[in-house]
Amino acid sequence: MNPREKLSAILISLGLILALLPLSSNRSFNARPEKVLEEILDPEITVTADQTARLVASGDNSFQLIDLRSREEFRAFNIPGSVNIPYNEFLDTDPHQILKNGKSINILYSNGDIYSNYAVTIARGLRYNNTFAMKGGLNEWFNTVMNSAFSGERISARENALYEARFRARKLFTEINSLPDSLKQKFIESKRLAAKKLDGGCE
Amino acid sequence: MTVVASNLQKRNYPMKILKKYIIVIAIALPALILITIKTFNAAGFKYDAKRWSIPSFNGSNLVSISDTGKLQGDKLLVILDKETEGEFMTSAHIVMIPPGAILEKQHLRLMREHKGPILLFSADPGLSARVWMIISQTGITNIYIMTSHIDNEIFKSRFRPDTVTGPEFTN
Repeated sequence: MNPREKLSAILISLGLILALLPLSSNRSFNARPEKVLEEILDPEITVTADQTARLVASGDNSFQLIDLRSREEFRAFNIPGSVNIPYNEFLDTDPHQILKNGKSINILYSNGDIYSNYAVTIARGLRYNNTFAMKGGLNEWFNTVMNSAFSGERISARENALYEARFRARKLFTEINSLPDSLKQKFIESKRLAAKKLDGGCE
Repeated sequence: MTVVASNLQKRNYPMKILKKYIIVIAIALPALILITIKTFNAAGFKYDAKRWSIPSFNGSNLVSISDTGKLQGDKLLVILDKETEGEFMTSAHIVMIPPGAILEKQHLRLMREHKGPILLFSADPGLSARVWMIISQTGITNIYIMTSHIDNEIFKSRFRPDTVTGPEFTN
């Protein structure tokens, strides 16, 4: 068998193998099933509304919030700093662009628990292990952060920190979502600048 | 003599072919084996995550407890958490599978071989959603999330923008 024949035979065999592969440009889960199962059953796959509020209130930009609701719902209001990827478009867009965005963690949320938990399972199946779901979604965010009020006579230091973070996140949420769309991004940038100044960082 | 030689030659023919194409076989065969394992592995994930997620995009995989009767066929109820087990003791086909064991071979076989809708139930709708997605990606269809919170994805509060006080911008 001369080299030309060998090469032809190799190419034909590989062509046949390619023909056997299902025709789809869509991504498939590439992590081991047992590993994905273990990860999605870990309680730490979810973050609470309070943990999210703390991140939002801190002005930290090392995390990315991803709103899975429809475009109309997102336009009405959203958690400050969020990007909108409606759940039914989650696999249409390149997950790499959404989830490998240079941020240390991605937090997915919707109105409730269903869409964010579908999406977090997809993300873990595609090996984006820095992705989490916000437990209870915006319904829980409103119950915990937006509508919370301290009732009692004495407040502990821990409770004080908790209510302070809730208050700051609530203030930011209301301020940003009361602005016209054109000013929202400018306002977020302004807040980050203020946070940098407070930290003593350079502009 | 010539007949014996010819028979021997015939017998050696496959070996000759094998030797001739050894490089091709060495490259193509492992690839073919890996593809076959990935395609037909019952506990593995199937190709094309989007295809198996479609019912979750349009919500056709969600069913309220009162609407389960509308589903056609013999139903299999899979209860994911122990606390809720007692609520459905009257149901004929009911199995309790802890979420951590859902990908075990016998459980996948049970769901694969069941003719009719499979209903997943957990008190935590987030857990049901995650388990639904992982089972669906193994290629099992006709699987639903049975929930008492069908309105889970409906926003239940009201947001009132504050148009009185303007925010301060830092320059």
